[in-house]
Amino acid sequence: MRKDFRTPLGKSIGLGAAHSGTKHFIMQRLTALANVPLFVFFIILIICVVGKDYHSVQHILANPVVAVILALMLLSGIYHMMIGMQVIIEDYFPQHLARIWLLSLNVFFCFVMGAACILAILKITLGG
Amino acid sequence: MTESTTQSDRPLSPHVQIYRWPITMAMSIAHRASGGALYIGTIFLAIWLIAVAGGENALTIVNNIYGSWIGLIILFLYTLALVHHLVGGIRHLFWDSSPRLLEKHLATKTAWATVYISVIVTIVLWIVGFMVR
Repeated sequence: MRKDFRTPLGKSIGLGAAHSGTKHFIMQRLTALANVPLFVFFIILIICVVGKDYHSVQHILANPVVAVILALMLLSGIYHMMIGMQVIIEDYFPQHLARIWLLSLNVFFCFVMGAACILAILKITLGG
Repeated sequence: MTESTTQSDRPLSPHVQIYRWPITMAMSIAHRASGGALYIGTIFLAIWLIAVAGGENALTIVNNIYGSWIGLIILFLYTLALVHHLVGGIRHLFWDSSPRLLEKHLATKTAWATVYISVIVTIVLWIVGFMVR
């Protein structure tokens, strides 16, 4: 009998040395699908606030429906761009060190952008 | 990392500099490039949202920078990148659901469609933007 060193759990998950399967592909498409209506809304929103004074802009963005859709757009959009940039880095940076640094920077950048934007939206909509 | 161990002067196959770009290839590159541009552009969106959260003075400063000539040019290119990536992304979603569209002549047609649609939509959005302000 051939000796198999894989654990029963490892065998049933069945992913091998790659550790992950189609999650990246699926999430890229799933966020893309969500981004279509969210960014169409965003474009319309921007057209609505163009040229308006501070109080009108603040009032429009403070609307709970607008704030929630904007926050969803940022979460879905930033996740989409994080895994998208990951692929770009993996394609063009084969050197181990540069690759690890850039992949880490990518995650940091996206989390900073997400945190900053979400905090700004919370302040606009809740902070009076 | 695997590294090539052979170093001989064999002829290379024709590369991107040699032959005329098919439109599908140009749009593939444009999709990735516009994605990269939007990645950087997130900074501008974050600054604008923080300015609205920061109050009237902050928004006035940001509006003056974004409303300058260089600001408007960057915002126009940002709009173009967003619309192109959006239209190209919808093209990708159609490919995923019906691979028939990947057939050479159809892919070429939809590649040209993304060029025209994204440029026209961007210009229309800016005309509407200037009319409503």
